[in-house]
Amino acid sequence: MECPIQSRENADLLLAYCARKLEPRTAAILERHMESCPDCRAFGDEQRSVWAALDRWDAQPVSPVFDRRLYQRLEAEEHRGWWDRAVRPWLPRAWRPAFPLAAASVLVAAVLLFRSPAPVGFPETNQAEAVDMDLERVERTLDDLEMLRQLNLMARVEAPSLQPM
Amino acid sequence: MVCPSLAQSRRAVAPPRPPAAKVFGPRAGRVLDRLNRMTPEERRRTLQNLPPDRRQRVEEQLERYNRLPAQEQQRLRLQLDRFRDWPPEQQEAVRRLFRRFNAFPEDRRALLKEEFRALNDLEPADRRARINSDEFRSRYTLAEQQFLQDYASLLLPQE
Repeated sequence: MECPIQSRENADLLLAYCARKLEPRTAAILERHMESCPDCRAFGDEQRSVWAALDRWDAQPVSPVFDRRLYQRLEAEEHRGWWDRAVRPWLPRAWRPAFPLAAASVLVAAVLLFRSPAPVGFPETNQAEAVDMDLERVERTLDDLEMLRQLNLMARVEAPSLQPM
Repeated sequence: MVCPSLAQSRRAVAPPRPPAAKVFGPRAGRVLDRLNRMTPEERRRTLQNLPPDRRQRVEEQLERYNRLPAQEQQRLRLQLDRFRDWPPEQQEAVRRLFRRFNAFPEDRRALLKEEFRALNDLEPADRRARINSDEFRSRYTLAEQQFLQDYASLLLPQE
């Protein structure tokens, strides 16, 4: 075969080989070539060491409350008032944490001053989530789950233990 | 010149080998978490954008999924993650296979599902032997034999 490194035409084969995505027959041909080609052999060794390092790397487990907090923050961000959005970029970064407190104090003072019976405006429902949902994605996900359950095609993939989502 | 056999098989990339177990939670099913977090009213409002037949289908599938034990849900979501890592054309091949599966009568589907389990438990060589056996040929129609052969070709390689 023509050397993938020299020809550059088949360079993706080397990457696929190192990512263990190459079908066995092609991998065998490439391996035979690598036996006689020091450049390809060296490239393969380097890529394999990268993949081995990635395999050894374990990410820190995600906290069980991570999703809940993230969604709370996203929701809070979505419900920030137009005035807060307009003013925030102009405030010095150090003042930003104090700004909501100051704004709340002004609001409470105003309510006490005018004794207004009107409630402070909180959103009624989670309307944004109801509207923003990608329904086709939901359908695709449910269809795929149903398909995998019925076909049992990936029976060898097991959940080792329950993990936080 | 590029080696012909190599060029011919360039397109045939096997499904990616599943990576070693990681601590990340399955990501593909998170859209279901969002649905499940909604109140019944929010969910109703969200799904009302779908035509009635599709809405009913989603509700039934979600109900079926939610009735599964937690361990089974986790396993399926992990499988879905792996499945979504497959090349798109391979994913589409599985979906086509599933459509063919659904076209068989219910009693034959039950039989085929038994065969799925048997084929899954076999090593590739034994699987081939089973598919070529007289018992296999006498048990299934030609269409079912072809379907099962295609099914076996999509099974995950032995890890």
